[in-house]
Order: sequence, then structure tokens, then C-alpha cells
Amino acid sequence: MSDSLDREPILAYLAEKIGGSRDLLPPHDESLVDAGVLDSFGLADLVAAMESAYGVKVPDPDISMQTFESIDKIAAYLATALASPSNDA
Amino acid sequence: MEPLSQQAALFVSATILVLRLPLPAVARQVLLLLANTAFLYTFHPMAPVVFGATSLLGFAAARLAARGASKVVLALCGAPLLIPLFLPKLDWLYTASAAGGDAVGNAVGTRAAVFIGASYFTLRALAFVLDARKHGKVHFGLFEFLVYNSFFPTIIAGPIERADHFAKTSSRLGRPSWDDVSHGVTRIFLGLLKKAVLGTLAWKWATPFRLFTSDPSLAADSQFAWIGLYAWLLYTYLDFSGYSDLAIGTARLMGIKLAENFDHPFLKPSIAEFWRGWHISLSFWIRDYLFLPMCGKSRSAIRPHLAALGSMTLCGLWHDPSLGWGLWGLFHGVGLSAHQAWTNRLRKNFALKRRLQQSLVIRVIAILLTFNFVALSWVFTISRFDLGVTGQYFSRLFGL
Repeated sequence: MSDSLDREPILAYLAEKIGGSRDLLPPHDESLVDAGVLDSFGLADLVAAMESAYGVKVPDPDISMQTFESIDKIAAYLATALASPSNDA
Repeated sequence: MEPLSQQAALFVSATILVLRLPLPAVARQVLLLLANTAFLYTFHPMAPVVFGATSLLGFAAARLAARGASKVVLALCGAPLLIPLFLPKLDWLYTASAAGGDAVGNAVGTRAAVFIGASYFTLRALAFVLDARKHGKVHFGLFEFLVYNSFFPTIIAGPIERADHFAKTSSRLGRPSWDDVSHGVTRIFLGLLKKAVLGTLAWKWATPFRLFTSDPSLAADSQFAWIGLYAWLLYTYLDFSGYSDLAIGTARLMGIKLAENFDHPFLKPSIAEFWRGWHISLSFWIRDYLFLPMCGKSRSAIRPHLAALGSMTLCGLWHDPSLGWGLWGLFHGVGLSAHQAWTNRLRKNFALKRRLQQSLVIRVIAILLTFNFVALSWVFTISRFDLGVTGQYFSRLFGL
């Protein structure tokens, strides 16, 4: 957890997908795919929700399972995106 | 060049030995590129030309993509890359090249024997372009790209090696460790066992399915129809994964570690997991370069389902541009879509989902259901365009 991003929107979104319980979410460094929380069908929805929650724009080429594989990776990507000059608007 | 022929064994052995000579890395790459070109030439004199044109176009498009070229420019550069994808599968080429008779066939080899491998090096070139767009850089220079894209062990049936994965081990070309040699020999033995021994047995048991079009009486009873279908599916797996073993083993003897292409696909408890174990390099290609772009970043609940139907139908048509294979792909798309609808519902009760996943009984039932779903999908491929034959086989299976 090296980034200083507020992870609340990420956790709220993922918890809602599994019926509301945050206790059942996997550790932040573990694969959401292996845990059964996320799959390729849900990736587009996750990306759209994160764009809305954090006010960032995710370029199409960045949409991949590897980029959004774990809570840590999602947070790291969003932290980088927020720090990017292209998201200053 | 038949994969199990003496000619192929001599060619592979000679290449491995030559690459072990005390030569600079660049010289070893040049020798490999020559071997790759010669390998293509043995199938058709035009094959190296098609490969060269495809690769040069792919590399140029990748350079443009890395510099942020617009989608229109990329589409114009990339569209011709699609031509070789379907070229080997056109009817006149197919009939000119397919081996006739009732000899043990090669599900991979005979279907694409003219410009063999065109679809594989084309898919690699397309991925190279799209990855360049994603990362803003190309993984290789032109020379390294040609070596990578023509790597002969992967030409006939993959795996569709990713450039970044290949780059990790390409520096060890011609310098295998003892571990590489040991693993390589084991994989080649396993591949030969699957293709030449077990595949031959499955081929014979698959007779009611294989020859149903010419002799429907072979599957007169439901039980023969099921045995024939299961045996055909098994044969397809043994032949295809056996070839992947040969490719992975041969590459390992050269010091190159390729990605795995199969992971116990018939022991998977869902159709989604089946595709994470069957022709893995193709299914990930479809996911990353077709399915996810079709999904975009929409919050629409229906769009991923439409993307699954579209991308899997294209997957079927990639295997063979025919009605039968298109329906095969669509059937898988419907299966993936239905499985996802079920998963989304179950995920809302995550504790129950975990309990079900941990139940051995549920797992066994799920594996059997998945296996039979996959087996039934292959019925669509029994005839390329005659749905009457397909319907007849379904009738035999269910005793109708």
C-alpha cells in the first residue's frame, strides 16, 4: 500500500459486487480473478465505475486484466493516472 | 514437412546442434531465421513471401502505433494483415492440400497445409501492433521481430507466443541449460506419446463421428454416437496438445521457454475455466484483443454478453470460415454468457459461492457438465455447411 490513494470507492464497488460484505474480499495484493470477485465480463464495468469515482480517464489500451488484477494494482494504476498531467482538467 | 517425419526430426536436430556452435548471438539469430524460412519453404515456395510481407507490414504498423498513430491509420495498415489469417482456409486451398483417405489424420496439420502457420504469425503480428499502441514502444527491432514471428516450432499450431514473453528468454537462444534439455526431452516424449500412440487410439474410436457424413450407420445407436463424439474430442485434444508439447519441448532444447498452451481443460468446472485451459494462447488473444475492446468501458450489463457472442463466433470462424465452425463459436459464446449470468447471481451470495466451489460432489458434477457441453459443441463441426448432417448426429446422440 505505497500509494496514498483513498481506496474507499474501490472497496465499496467490489463489496457491492459480492453482496456487500467487505470481509469476503481477498487481501489487497491477491488476485481478484482467482478469488472469484472479478472476471473479464466485469472489467468494463469496473473501469467505468473507477473513472466516474476518481474522475480519471482510462485509455482503451490500458484496459487489461493484468492492470486491474488486484486491489493494490487498481489503486496503483489510479494513483498514477491521477498524478498524470493528462488528467488535469 | 510432417511433424512426425524423419525429415522433421533431422531438421530439428540439425537446427538445435547448429545453434549450439560457439557463435555470436547475432549469428545464432541469423541461422535461426534461415532455418525458420527453410521450414516455411518446405510447405510452399510462397509461404516465406507471405510471411515476409505480413511481418514487414506488421512491424511498420507497430512503429506507427508506438508513435501514437490514429486508429484510422492503424486500421488501414492492419487490415491487410487479416488476409493471410483466412487465406489458408479457403476451399480451393483446402482441397488442394488436404490428405485424403482414412489414415490417421492431423487435426492441425492437414487443415492448413498450404500457407501453413499464416494464421499464427498473423495473430502474433497483430498482437505486436496492438501492444505497441498500448505500451508506446515496440518490443523488438525489425530483425529480432522477424526471428520471433517466424520461430518455426510455433508455426504450425502455436502457441501464439507474446513478444514480451519471448523477449525474456530469447537471449538464451542456443544456450540451453541441463534443466532445459531435461524438460525439453520429456516434453517431446510426451508429445510423441499423445500424438502417435494415444491419439491414434482415439482416432480409431472416433470412427462413428469422423465418418458419419459418408456412413451414418456407424453411429446407428446412441451409445456409438456418444463414444465417437467423446473419442473425437479426446483425439482433438491429444493431437493439438501433443503438438504444443513438441513445440514447447523443441524450443526448450534451443534454450527458449515458450508459454504453456493447455492446462487440463477437461478437468475444469465451468466453460469459462475450460477456456483458461484450452489453447490458452489463443483464448487470451481473443480476450485481450477482441473481447475486451468490444466491451469498451461501458457499464451496460448486456454489452459483455454481446461481446462474448461476437468474439467467440469470430474464434470459430478463425478455425475455419464455415457455418459449422461459426455455430461452434456461437455455441461457446452462449455458454460463456449463460455461465456469466449464473456467476453474477451467485456472486451476490459470495459465502454460498465459496461453499459450492469447495464441495467435491458439486465440482465433479460441474466438470461432467462442462465436458459434455464442450463435446456437444464439436457436433457443429461435423459438416462445414450441411446443418442436416449436424441435426442427424444430434438426433442419434439423443435417440430421437
